[in-house]
Amino acid sequence: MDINEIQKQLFQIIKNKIPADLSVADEVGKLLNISSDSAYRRMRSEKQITFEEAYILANHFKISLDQLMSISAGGMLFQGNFVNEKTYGFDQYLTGILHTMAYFNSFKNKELYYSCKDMPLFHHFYVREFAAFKWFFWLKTYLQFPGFAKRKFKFSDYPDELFPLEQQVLGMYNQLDSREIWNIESMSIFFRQVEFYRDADMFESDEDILRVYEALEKVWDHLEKQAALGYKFKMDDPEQKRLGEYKMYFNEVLLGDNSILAVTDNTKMAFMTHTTFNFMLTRDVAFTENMYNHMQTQMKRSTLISEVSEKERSRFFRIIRERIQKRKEALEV
Amino acid sequence: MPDYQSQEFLFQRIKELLPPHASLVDSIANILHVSSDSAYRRIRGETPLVLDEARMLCQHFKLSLDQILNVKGGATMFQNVRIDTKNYKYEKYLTDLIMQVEYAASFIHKEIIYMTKDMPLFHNFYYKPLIAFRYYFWMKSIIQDPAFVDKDFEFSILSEEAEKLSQKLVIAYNKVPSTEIWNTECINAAISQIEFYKESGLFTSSKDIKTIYEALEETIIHLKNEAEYGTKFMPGENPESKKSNFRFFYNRIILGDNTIMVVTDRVKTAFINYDVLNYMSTQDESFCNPCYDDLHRMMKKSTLISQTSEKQRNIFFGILLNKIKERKKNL
Repeated sequence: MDINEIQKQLFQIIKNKIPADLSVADEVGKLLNISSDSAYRRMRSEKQITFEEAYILANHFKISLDQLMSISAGGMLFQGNFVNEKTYGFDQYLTGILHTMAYFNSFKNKELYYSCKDMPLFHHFYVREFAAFKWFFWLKTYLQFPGFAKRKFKFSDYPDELFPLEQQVLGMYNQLDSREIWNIESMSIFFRQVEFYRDADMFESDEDILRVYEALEKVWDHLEKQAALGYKFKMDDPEQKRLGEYKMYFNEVLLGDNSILAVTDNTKMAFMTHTTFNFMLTRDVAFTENMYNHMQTQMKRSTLISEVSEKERSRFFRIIRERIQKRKEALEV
Repeated sequence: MPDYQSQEFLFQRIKELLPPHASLVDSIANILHVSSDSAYRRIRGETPLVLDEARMLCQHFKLSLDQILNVKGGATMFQNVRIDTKNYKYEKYLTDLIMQVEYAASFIHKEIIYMTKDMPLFHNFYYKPLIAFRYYFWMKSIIQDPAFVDKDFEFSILSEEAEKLSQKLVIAYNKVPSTEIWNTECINAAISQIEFYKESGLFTSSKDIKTIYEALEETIIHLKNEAEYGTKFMPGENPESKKSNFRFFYNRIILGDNTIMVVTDRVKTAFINYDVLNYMSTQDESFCNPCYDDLHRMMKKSTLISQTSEKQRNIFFGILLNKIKERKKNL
């Protein structure tokens, strides 16, 4: 496409994003620090806009320049951090997620697709005991922070400031519409983790393990309620006020990989899990489109168990509940 | 001087992409059809790039503008190893993989580290019934080849060429020293896929299902032998004539994500799995080094059950074999 056409299209997109009572030339002029007249000349393609100006406009109005100019990149750029004890701690990891969630919430339309290998990260933040155990497990066993090497798990070690932060992340997540693709094995690893800790004498007592399982039961009950209603609500809200939409899919064949796709007004962002725990993000158009199609295919091959299919939903939740029950009974309390 | 920050980012990125001996100025001048002087002024930010020029540069270097403008550093470039589902040829997919593995094998120092979520691809290819089922599953459920929509499973769907290539791939893999980190859950996907097809009525006889389960069983037993000898070999080969090149770890608590790290003469390449079949790869050290360390941390947390720890090895493979036995009982 001719560059003048591209420029015209850019301003057309901007026009559609600006309320009707505002002047496009004024708004563009303000952003680019030029007169309305100069803005007009750019809008009419009499003057070519610079790369810097295109960037300012694209950034402000959240427009994909790749899409606009049909750029298909050979490589794909991903960004992300590795959580570590010194430069990027767990609290920074959470703060990073919080900012990303806040960013998604700034869009009018936003939807999150989650391909679950494990229970989605966010659901770990409903109940303090559950959050505490996972915090300890992640830092000690996944990330092997040296400071945790010789420690046993104690609820009291869980830092006070962490739970409010995790709840904030959860709050942000709950405002988004989301679709989660689960497999019956998505909880298996969690059970293994608890059992491994029990065998390795990493709990102070079986009572503590019971508390962890009971916390999981609370989360599980809440997720089932949300699935039945088809929307998210706060765990402690007796009125169950509607937050984001909640769609849950039960996939019998494939276990997901904890990848997340965020679809906002006009862009898609993909988060890939790697090295078990870390995330990296890309906005690569071809990659995110591919992931979107992949998620759609997986959903087609799964059973939607939120709102509808009560029988399948009950079965899914019952199987896990029975697994929890069996493990609780094996405890010496 | 005006602040053309995004312009600076763009040139920085291009510079990273150029081979060390290439001149940035000459390259820019060539692509934009301007004099070296004009190219200089753009690189130094004295002359602003117009959008059209930015487009020419991005298209030339296959750079994503959206990426460059949003990235604040710390980004890793990945190359895509995506399967083209539209013009997909299973035989070509296998041939490409064989080439990649043989390329790794051509180095003096080489190692493949595999952090498994599912049974590594290579181990599906020892016995024909399993090769045929894998092929059917991929074509039908993953590639969604239109020719497979209404097709029931039959062993004869597997072409002789695909069978040969599959085995050639394992033979190539067997030549590269490798470390695999397994969990007892790694076999679940294979089993649930067979079960799903069974329940969906895609098998014409339960005898076929039994044959596939038996091939899976044989595979696990073969893997156990490989772990015992610490070497990779084909069924029927004598393991004692082979070099020790196989380390097998039993990890109880972390299910991997099918990440593969290939180390060849000190260069690390990380392959990250996505959307079931696809991989993307990078040699960026800032990504590969922590990833490599992470894999080694996982090994430390796991039990080495190749060549040693007979009891743990028996327990591990016993769990896998029991899972298959349970399913066979229900047939």
